[in-house]
Amino acid sequence: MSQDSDREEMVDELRATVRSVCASLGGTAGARRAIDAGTPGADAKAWHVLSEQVGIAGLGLPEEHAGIGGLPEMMAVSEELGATLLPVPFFSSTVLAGQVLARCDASAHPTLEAMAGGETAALAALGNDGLWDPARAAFNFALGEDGRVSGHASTVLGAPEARWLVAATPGELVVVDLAGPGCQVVPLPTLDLTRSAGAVTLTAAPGTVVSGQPDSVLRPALDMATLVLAAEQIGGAQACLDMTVAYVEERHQFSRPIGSFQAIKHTLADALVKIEMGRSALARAVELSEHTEDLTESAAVARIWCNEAYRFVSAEAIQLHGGIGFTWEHDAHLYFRRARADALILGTTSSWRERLARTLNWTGH
Amino acid sequence: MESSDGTAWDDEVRAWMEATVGPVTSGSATPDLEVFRDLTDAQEEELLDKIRAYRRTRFDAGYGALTLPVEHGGAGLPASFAARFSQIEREYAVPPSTELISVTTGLVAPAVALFGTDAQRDRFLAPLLRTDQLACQLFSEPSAGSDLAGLACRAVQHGDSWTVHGQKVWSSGARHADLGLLLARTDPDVVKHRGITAFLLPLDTPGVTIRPIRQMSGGSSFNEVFLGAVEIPDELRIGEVGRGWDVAKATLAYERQASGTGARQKGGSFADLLALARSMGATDDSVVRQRLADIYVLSALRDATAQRVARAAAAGVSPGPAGSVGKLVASDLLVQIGEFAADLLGMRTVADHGDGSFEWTAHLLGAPGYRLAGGTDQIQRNIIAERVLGLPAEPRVDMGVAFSQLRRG
Repeated sequence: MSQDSDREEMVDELRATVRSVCASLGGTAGARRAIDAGTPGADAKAWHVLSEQVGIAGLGLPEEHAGIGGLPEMMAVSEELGATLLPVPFFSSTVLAGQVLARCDASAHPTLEAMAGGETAALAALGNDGLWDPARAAFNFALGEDGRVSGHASTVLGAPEARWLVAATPGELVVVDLAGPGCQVVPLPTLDLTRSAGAVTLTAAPGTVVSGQPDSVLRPALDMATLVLAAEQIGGAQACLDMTVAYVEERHQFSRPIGSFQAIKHTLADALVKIEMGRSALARAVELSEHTEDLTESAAVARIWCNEAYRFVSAEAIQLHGGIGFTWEHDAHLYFRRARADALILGTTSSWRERLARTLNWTGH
Repeated sequence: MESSDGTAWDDEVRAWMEATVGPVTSGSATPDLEVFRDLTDAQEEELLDKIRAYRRTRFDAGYGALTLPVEHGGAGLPASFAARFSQIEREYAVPPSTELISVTTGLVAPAVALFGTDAQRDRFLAPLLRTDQLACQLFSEPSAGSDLAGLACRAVQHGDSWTVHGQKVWSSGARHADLGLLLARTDPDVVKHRGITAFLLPLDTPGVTIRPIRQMSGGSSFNEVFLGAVEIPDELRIGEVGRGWDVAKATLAYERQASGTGARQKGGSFADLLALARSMGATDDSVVRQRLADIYVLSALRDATAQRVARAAAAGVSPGPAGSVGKLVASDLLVQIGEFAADLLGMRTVADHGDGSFEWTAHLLGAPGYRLAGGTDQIQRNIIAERVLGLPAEPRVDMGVAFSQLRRG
C-alpha cells in the first residue's frame, strides 16, 4: 500500500514540476511564439528545459536507457502539456516512437540512448486513417536487400524536428538517421498549430532493423500511446473549461455575468461531466494496467470517450466566449484544432468502436 | 466494536457475512429490467420482510449503525467504514433492498440522530436502524418539487400539539411505512426556508390518507399523502421550530451520498443489451456495434466513476467533482440503453409477442422517471455549475421575501 502512495506522491511531484515549467514558459504563449517564428509545434527551448532539466525525454523508456516511470507518469506529464499546448515532441517522440522502440530488439538501444538525451524520433507506421494495419496492401516503406530503405509517408508527426525515423516495412521496423543520405523531410502546414508534421521521402537511405515482429511491437505500443494521448485530451479539455468558467464569470450582458444564465451553466456542467468521466477512463486504465499487459480494451474505452469529450469542450469553449472566441488571437481555436487532430491521429472514434467490438468479441453468437 | 486497523475489521465483517448470508451465487435469474418496481402490496411486503430480517440480524451483530455516535447507540466509526461495509455487502447474498429501507436507515434515522432530542433518539433510533419501524419522507408537494423550500403544508401550534393540513406527493413507500419525516410550514411570514419545521408523523394518525400514484411504467412505487387536521404532539417535532430546512438539507445530502447499500441495479444493464443484440444477430450490423460501443463506454465509465467515489469515501477523502456526476450519468445511461433496446426490438417493442422481450418496455417507460426523481437532471446541472464550478446564481425573485408574499402555482 505504501509503495502505491509513494509512487502517487512522485507522480504528483512530476505533474507539479511540469506544470510550473509550462507556466514559466508562458503557458500558451509558447505555442504562439512557435507559430509566429514559422515553426509551429516546435519550441526548442521548451523541449530543452523539459528534457534536460526535468528529464521527461526518458519517460516510459526502459530503465537501462535512463528511462523512468511508466503509464501514470506519462499520463501526468501528457495531461499537463496538453493543458498549455506546449509545442514539444513529447508525444510524437518520447511516447509514440519511444514506446515502439522500447519494445524492439537490442539494435534499438543506441536510438533510445540518443532519445533519453533529448534527440527526437518520429514514427512512420500509420496509415491515412491513423491506424496500424499489418494487412495493408501498400506499405509506406520497403527494405531493400542492401539494408536500405525507400518509400514515402505523407503525414509523420514530429518529422520536421526529428533526428530519427522509425519506419514500418512489410516485415520489419527500421530506424533511419534523417541526417543521413537519402532522406527528405518536407514540413507541412497543419491543422493543429501546436504540433508539427512532415512528408518523409526515403531513397535508399541506410537503416537499422530493430524488429522482425512489427505487429507484436506496434499493437501494444500504440495502445499505450493512445492512453497517454487520452490524458493529453483531458488536460486540454480541462484547460478549455477553466478558461471558459473564468470568462463567463467576468463577461456581463443584460447587467449580469453571463455565467449566471442557466443555458451557459448547463453547457459547462455537461463539460465537467465529460471531463470527469474521462478522468475515470484514465484511472481505470492505470488500474487495469497493473493486472494485464493487454491494454486494448482500456485504450478503446478511453479513446472513444476522450475523443468526443475534448471535441465537445473545445467547441463549447468557443461558443461560450462569443465572438472573441472565434478570433485568431484568442487561444480557444488552438485547443479546437488540437482536439480535432488528436481525435484523428491514432484512429477515429468509429474505428475504435469497431476495434472494441472485435476485442470483446461481440459478433460471436 | 472498535477497530483502527481497517483490514482486520474487513475480515471480521466478511466472516460474519459468510456465516450469515453466504456469498453471491453466480446463477442468473431472468434479467430484472424494471427501473421502478411494479409489485402488488403483498409482493412488496414479502420483499420488505426479507430485507428487514437481514437488517435486524445485522443490527444485532453490531453493524447496524456504523457511523452514529456511540452515545446514540452507534459504532462511532468514520464514514469510510460505512462505505467499506457497503462494498463488502455486494460480495454476499444480501437480500435486495428497497427505497423505503434506505430512506428509513439512511435518511430518517440519521436525521433523528442529528437533530432529535435524547428522548427521540432513545425512542426511535434503534427501531429505525433495525427496521422494526419503517419511515418515509413527506417532503415534496404538488407545488413544491425542485423548489422544495416553497412547500405549503401548514402546521399550526396550539399548546403541546400541532395541527397539520396539507398534501405531500412522490412519497416512496408511504403505504408500507409506520412513520413519515414531515416538513411543514410553521411560519408563513418569514422568508420561505426559515419558516419550515420538521416532524416525525406516525402514519396511523387520524386524518392521514395515503393514495398510490400510478407511474407511467405501470407500478405504484410512490404515493400522495393527504393530511387533514392531523394532530402531531410537539414531542414529535424534530429539531427547533423554524429549523426544518436544516433537517431537509442534511437529509438531501445523505441522499446524494448514499452509495446504495444492497441497492438493486435499476433497469437493464449493458450486458443485458448486448445479450439482446446477440440473440437477434444484430451484432453483425456495424451500425449496431457502433451504438453498442458508445453505451459500453458510458456504462464502464459510470462504474469507474462510482468506484473512484467509493474509494475516496472508504479512504475518508473528498471525491472532488467526480462525486457530483453520478446521478446525471446514470440517468443518461438508462435512457440510452432503453431507447436502443427499443430500436433493436422494433415491433416487439410496439406490441407484446409473448416471448419476454416486451419486459424492455418497463425499462423504456421507467427511465424518464429516473431523470426526475432524487433531483432532476436540470437541478443536477445547476448543482454542478454552481457548487462545483462556482458559477454565480441567477437573480432570484424569491429571496428576502416573506413566504406569504410569494407567487406560487
